[in-house]
Amino acid sequence: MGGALGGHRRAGTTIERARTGLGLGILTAVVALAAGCSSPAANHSATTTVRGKAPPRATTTTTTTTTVPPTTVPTVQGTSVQIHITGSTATVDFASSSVSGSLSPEPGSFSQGGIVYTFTVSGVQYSGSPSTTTATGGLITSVVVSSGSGGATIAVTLLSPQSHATYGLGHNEVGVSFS
Amino acid sequence: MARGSRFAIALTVTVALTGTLVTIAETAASAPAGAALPGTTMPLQEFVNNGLNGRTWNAYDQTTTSAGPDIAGRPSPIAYGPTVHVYARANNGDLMEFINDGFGGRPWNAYDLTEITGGPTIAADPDAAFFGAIVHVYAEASNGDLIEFVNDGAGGRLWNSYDLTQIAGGPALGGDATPLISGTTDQVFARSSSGDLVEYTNDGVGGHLWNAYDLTQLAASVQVAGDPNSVEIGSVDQVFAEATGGDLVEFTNGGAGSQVWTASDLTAATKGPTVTGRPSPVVASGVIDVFARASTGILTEFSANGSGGDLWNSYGLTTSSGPTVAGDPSAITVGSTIHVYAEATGGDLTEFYNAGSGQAFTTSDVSADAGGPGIGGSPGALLYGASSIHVYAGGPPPASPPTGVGLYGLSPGAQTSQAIEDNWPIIGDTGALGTQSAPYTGFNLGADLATGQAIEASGKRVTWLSFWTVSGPVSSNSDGSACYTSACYYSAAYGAGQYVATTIDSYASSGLGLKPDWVILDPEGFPDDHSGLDSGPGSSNANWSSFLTGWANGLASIDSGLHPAFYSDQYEYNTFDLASIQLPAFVAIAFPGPTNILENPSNNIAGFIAFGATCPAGSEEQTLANPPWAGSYNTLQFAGGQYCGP
Repeated sequence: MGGALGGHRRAGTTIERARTGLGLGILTAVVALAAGCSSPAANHSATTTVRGKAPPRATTTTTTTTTVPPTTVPTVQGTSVQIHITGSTATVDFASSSVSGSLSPEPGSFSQGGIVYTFTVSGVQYSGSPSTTTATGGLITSVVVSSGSGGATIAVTLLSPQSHATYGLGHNEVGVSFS
Repeated sequence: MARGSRFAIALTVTVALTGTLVTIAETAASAPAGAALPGTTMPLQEFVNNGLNGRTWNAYDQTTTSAGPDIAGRPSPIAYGPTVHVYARANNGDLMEFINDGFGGRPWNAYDLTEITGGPTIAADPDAAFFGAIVHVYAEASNGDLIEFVNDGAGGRLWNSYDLTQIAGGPALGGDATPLISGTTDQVFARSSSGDLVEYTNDGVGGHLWNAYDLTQLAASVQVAGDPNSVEIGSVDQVFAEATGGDLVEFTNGGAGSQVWTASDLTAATKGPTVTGRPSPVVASGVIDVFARASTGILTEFSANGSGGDLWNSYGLTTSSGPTVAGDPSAITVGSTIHVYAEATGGDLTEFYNAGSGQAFTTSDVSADAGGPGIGGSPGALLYGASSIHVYAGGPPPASPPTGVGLYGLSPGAQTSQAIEDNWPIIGDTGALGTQSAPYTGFNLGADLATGQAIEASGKRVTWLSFWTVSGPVSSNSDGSACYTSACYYSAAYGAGQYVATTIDSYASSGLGLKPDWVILDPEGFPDDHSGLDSGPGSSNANWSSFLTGWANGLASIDSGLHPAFYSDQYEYNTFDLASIQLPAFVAIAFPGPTNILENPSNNIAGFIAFGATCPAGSEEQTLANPPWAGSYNTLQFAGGQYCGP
């Protein structure tokens, strides 16, 4: 048992040093708890979670995107937003140049008997003409992105009435899924 | 010793070098060539100059011998009676102890001290020292707290862990802690998460056993950009570190326990080079010698030898006939000689040693001599007995995937396949978006698997970067409300990591035989302001550290073969001390005209993720191929769904 202190031994010689003019600071001891054998720090236990619902994986949806030609200025080019529809999920990618801060989808609302869901995304400046993508074969039939107060407005039209929407969020991307 | 006697033998020297003064060089903003990225896990290798098998050095894979885990970072060895104890961070973040105790008929065994003590996982390299006959191991926990692991037998348990940051009310750390123990005085030095050099010590001041001191303030000196290392000469403590800006600085006090600190700029005093990383000081024949990697990769000695009328002088130990080094050196003394070990550029463990104070250094390729592996990280050296040298390091590093400039954010399917066909060497995708409940990711899966399938179908070796947006703990309280503590951030990312690792491992059921080269946490989910980490109650260095460490550990708990990494923008990298995170970083920039605002980039930057690229992309590729953006794994993201070849 036991062993040498290795590199922490005291050496026999003290070297005198020329300093570079740095002054002495004020002792700033930070103290709090009485010392001793405290209990160990909290152990990080693993949190295993189970997803309530598998993500949509339908790949048979076909989509078509059209952008209304701008009629007034200023406009954002149609390529500044990309809309993807896959079954019951839609994602909207905003061009980085139009993202003015951290994206955040706001709570939306259903209308027309649950057929249309509309919500606003803040943190993006979208001042161009509406961009529309349509799809067939899945729950979502069209997505329209347009300018709105405080960001972009997204209107999603559904094949059948729904009552619950969930969001996904990434760097320049917002997603919505229905169940 | 369990593996038989190890005896002293004269060391082989191959190259004679002369000391030369070297000049200051610009600091690179990415990992040095030849160095594995931080967080890369590898087997624990032991190199011993035991003279067996007809060669001076031999190498042993002690992860395999012990049936223990792979390690990340620099191991810390100590001689404990007749045995050697090696402390290292395991691939799941636990503190491991490897011992050649022969227990159970196995020469080496591995013990999980995090599990044994019920303590935290660690986020940086540990460092061990003796306090009397007791072993003290210090490390930064995942939330930045300084943790002491001690085999004190308290409470009927051999090993216990103590949170010194909580006990002393001190600052969170931003890197490796290093102890300096003299008699009953225990001092632990580290860089705080704010960049100050700090000391924790058991001085009992104010009725508290442990107290914390800010040495940057006490010395009215500079902040530090790297991990410190210390030595004592006489009764004076000497602490060395890379200052912000790269100069090597020395902090020294008025004697053991003194809190009168002054600082000196050794780079300026010697007109020597700027340095990177953790220096390694020793005292040989009463003279302090400090070894550090210069920004150029040259192993440099700063010596208080008084030569030429100057107290401090600096010498480059690497010449045209010797290797540059890629990581931090580890120096020991054997009698009056100094032996310094480092990972050479190219990956071999290399020894620099001199025949005595003031003598020229020579080099020896230890990996080659041992017929053993290269290493992928900084070594830890130990003198055992009079002349037996043991050097520990992680190695060999995994083969590096293709480097260069690739693409991110392609449409899955045909566009990705076209990019691979066009020989873009790197493809990045979005695995999923962040969600508002656990596992805080998993929205819109599919692109990641599709990317892997496209790569596999091509038959090409393409670097695969898999980005996953992970939200903060926006519903982690029992009532479904947000919880912005470090523990909640850790838990949220841990669960996300488990979920993502499970998802990736399920790709095999779709016939995919590949996995991503890096699995990258993108903290741009809920709530607003980047998973709540950029402003508001979740915005802190500790939460960033906890979030990223939880991610790494969650991945490892399911699949230790996955390689965790993280994404940030430059503001976040600067503001939240992300340079100290021991994981590869992918840092966002934007075209046109990306602006470099990185303040103290470390070697954890694996690449830059550039938005707003346009076709043709030649000029933007060139921009990313040159400093300051010359990362190993850069990508362009074309605006508006454009695509073009390289």
